[in-house]
Amino acid sequence: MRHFFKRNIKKYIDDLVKTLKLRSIQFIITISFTGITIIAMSFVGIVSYSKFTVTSEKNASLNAEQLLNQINSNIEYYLQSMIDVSGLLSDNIYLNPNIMNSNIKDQMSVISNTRSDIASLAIFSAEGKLIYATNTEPLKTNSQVTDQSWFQNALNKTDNLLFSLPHVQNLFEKKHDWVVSLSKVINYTVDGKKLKGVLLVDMNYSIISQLCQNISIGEKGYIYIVDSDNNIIYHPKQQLINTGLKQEIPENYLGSYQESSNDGEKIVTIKTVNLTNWKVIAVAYTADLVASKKDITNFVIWVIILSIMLISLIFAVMSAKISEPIKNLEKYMKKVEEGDFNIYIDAKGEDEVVRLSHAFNIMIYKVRYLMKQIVNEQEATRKSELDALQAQINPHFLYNTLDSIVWMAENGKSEDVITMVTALARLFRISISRGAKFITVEQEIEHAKNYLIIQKIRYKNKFNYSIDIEPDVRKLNTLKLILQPLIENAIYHGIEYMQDEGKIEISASIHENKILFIIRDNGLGIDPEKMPGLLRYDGKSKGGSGVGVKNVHERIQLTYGKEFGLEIESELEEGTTIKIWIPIDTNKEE
Amino acid sequence: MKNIVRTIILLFLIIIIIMFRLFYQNQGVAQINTNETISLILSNANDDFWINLRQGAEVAAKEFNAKLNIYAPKEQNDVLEQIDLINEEITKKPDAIIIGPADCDRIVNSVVKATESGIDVFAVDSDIKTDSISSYIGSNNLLAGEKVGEKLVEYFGTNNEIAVINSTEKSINNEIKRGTGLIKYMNDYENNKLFNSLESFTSVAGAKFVTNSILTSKKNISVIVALNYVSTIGAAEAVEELGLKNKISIIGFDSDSNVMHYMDSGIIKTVIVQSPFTMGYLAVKNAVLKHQGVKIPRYIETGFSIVDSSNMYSQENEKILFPFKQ
Repeated sequence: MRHFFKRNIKKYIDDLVKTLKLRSIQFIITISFTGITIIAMSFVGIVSYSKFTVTSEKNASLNAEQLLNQINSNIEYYLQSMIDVSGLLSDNIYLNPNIMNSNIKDQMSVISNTRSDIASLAIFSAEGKLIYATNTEPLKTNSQVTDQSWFQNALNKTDNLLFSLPHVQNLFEKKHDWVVSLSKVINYTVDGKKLKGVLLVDMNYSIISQLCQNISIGEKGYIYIVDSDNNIIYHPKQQLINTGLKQEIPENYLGSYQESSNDGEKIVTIKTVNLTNWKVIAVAYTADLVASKKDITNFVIWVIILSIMLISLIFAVMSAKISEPIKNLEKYMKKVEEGDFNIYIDAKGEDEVVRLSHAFNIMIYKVRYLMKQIVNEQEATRKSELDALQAQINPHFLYNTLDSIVWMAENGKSEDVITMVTALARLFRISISRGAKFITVEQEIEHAKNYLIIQKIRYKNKFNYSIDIEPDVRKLNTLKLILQPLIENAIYHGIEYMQDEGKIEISASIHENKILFIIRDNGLGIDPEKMPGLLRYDGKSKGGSGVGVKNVHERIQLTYGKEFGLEIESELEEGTTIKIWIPIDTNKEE
Repeated sequence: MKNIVRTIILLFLIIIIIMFRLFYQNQGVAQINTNETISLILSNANDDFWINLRQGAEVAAKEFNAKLNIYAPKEQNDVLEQIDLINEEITKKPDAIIIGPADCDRIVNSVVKATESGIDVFAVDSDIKTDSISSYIGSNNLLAGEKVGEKLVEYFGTNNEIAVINSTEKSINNEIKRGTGLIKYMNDYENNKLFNSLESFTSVAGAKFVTNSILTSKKNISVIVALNYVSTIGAAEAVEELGLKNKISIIGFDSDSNVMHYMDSGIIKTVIVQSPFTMGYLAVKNAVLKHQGVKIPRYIETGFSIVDSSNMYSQENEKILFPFKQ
C-alpha cells in the first residue's frame, strides 16, 4: 500500500517536473502571475499584520493604562471625599466649644446615615476613651483602643492623616466588618479644656472592591491595590491570596514592566494613588493580546489564501483565454504536419493571433502553390527525360546508322562495321544504364565518344573530335545524356554544311567548384536572332533535333537549380561554344 | 490544459492542508475550553463553613471554566436526602461529583454506584470510607486532634478534667479522627481526664443540652473540647448560660460570626480553623485536572490554623477568621 502510494507520488512528481519543463504559455502566465500575487499579498499581509499588531498592542497597553488612571482617579476621588468628611468634622469639633454638644453628634449621625459606605464614625480621647460613636452597638468591654494601629499611627504620624490597611473593625460588640480606617488627630474642647483626640472614619471595605470590580483587561487581566509594604488592599482574588492559594508580589517599581510567570507573560503597570501610599497595579496578560494577535494572523492568512485562490483562478481562466487561440493555431499546424494542406483558419480574438492566423493562412497557401509547382516541374522533368531518351532512340538516327553499317558491310569494310556496331551497342547501354538518372562523368563522356565514333564514320571523317577530361572529374556524377544532344546539334547544324573539315572539342573540368563541360565546334555558328529563344523553355516540344539544347538546359535546371545550366557563345562562321555547368555532387544516387 | 488543471489541484491541496492545520490549532485551543460539568453536593447550605467552601468552588469553576451545579439537603446534614441527591446526580452523568459527606458510611453505596458509572467522586471536609473515590480534599484531622491536645497541655497544664463534646449519631470521619488524635496525644498525660459526651445530637440545642448535663454532673471540668462547629457553639452557649465564663475554657472547631463573638467575650479560648474556601477551590480544580487526565493524589491536605482569642485580630488571622464577602 505504502509502496504503491510512494510510486504514485513519484510518478506524480515526475509528471509535474515534466509539466514545468514543458511550460505552456498558459502555465507560465498562471504561475508567474500567481507567484507575483503571492509575493504581493504576502507583503501586504505582513505589513498590515505588523501594523495591526503594533497598533493593537499599543491600544491594549494604552487601554490598560487608561483603566488604571480611571480607577486611580476614582479611588482618589473617593478618598478625597472621605478626607473632606473628616476635615469637615475635625474643623467643626475644633471650633465647637464643647465636644459633648449635640450639634456634632447630629452632624456625625447625619453623615453616617446618609452614606452607606461609611461603616462608623467615632471620636476617641487621646487615652483611648470613646467620646462618641455613630454605632448603636456598645464598645466591647475588653477592646484596647490604644493598641489599635490606626490610633497609634494617628497620634504618632506627623502628616496627621492616615488610611489603614483593610482590617476587621473589632471595637464594637458583635461587629466584625472589614473596613479601611481613616484616622485623624483632632483638637477638641471639653469643659473649657483643650484636648487631643482621634477621629475615626471607617469606610466599608466593599466600597473599594466596588470601585475595582467589573474591571477587566483582556480576558484574564485584572487590577489590584497594595500599600507601600505590598500588603494587599484589594485583589479580585483576595480569598485565594488570603488562603495562600495564590501569591501576588508586585515589584517595587513605578511604571510598566513585563513579567513571565507560570500562567504566562504579563505586562504589569503600577501607579501610586495620591493621598495615600497605595499603589494600583494593572496586570494584563500578553496571552490575551496574543489571542487577538492570533485572530489577526488567522484573518490575514485567510484573506491571503482566499485572494490567492481567487486570483490564481482568474489567471488560470485568463491565460486559458489568451492561449486558446494559440492552441487552436497549434491544432491546425498539427494537421498541416500530418499533411493536410486544405486548411483555412477563421481566426477570432486578439489582434496578434488574428494576424498570426492570417500569416499562417498565407503560408499554407504558398506551400500549396509551391507544391503544385513542384508537381508540375516533376512532370516536366519526366517529360524532358523521356524526350531525351526518345531523341536518343531516334528512329532516323538508328535507321541511318544501320544503313551505314549495311553499306559498309557491302563494301567489305568489316573493320568499320565492327567499330560502328560496338559503338552503337555501348551507346545504347550507357543511355539506358539500368534506368538510372545519374551516371559518372566518365560514362557520360564515353557515351558522347561512342556517338561521335558512329557519326564520324557516317559523315566519312568530315570532322575530327578531341576529348579532354581532367582526372578529378571522371568519377563524379552527372545527369546523363547531356552531352550527346549538344554534339548532335553541333554536327547537324554546325558542321554538316561546312566546306572545311569540322572540329569538335569536348572537355570536362572543375571550375569554380562546379563541373564544367565545354563543347566547342568550328561550325557555322548560330544566327544571333535565334540566340535569345534558344534556352527559353516554352513548354512545347516541336520535335526534331533543335529541341536538344532546350531539353538539356531544362533538365539541368530542374535537377540542380537555376544557377546551373547552359551557356552558349556563338559567332557566325566561327563556331559555337556551349558550356554546361553542373554541381559537384557525389551523393546522387546511381 | 491538463497540466494546468493538475497544478491548480496541487495548489488547492496545499491550501487545504494549510487550512486543516489552522483548524487543528484552533481545535487545540477549543479543547482546553471545553467545560467540565461538576456537581457539588454539600451536606448543609447555611453554615459559614459551607458557604465558604461553596465560594471557593465557584471561584475555581470560574477560573477553570467548569460548569458547577451546587446542591444541598433542605434539612441540614440530612443523610437520606444527600443520598437521594447523589443518586439523582448519577443519572445526570456529570464529569465529577464533589461531596461534603453528611455521613461517611451511609453514602458509600451511592458513591460506589457513581464511580462505577464513570463519574469521578471527590470528598471534601470529611473522607468517605471507600477506595473508589478519586480524592479527599480536607484537613489532616488526626493532626488537628493532636494539636488540640498540645494546646490543652500548653494552656491548662496536665491536671485537668476535660469534657469532649462530640456528636456520635452520625459517622463523620473527620470528627472521629479528631477525637482519635486528641486521645492519642492525651495518653502521654494521664492526669488529664477526658470525659466524652455520651448522648448524640445534631443541633446546637442538642449540643448545648449535652454540655449542660455533663457540666452539671462533673463539677471539676475546666476545659471543654468541642470537636465540630455545632458542638462549639452549643458548648459556648451552655457555658455562658451557666455563668461559668471565667471558670471554663472552650477549644472548638471552625469559625463564624457567633464563634467570633464568643471569642471576643473570652468564652472560647481557641479555635481550630480549617480552610473551607481552599477545600472548595481545590476540589473543583482537581476535578477539572482529573478529567483532563492529570493524576490526582488520593488525599489533598488543605491545612488548618489555630487561632486564640488573644491573636484573632492579627493581620493573618483576620483573613482566616473573617472571610471577605465580595
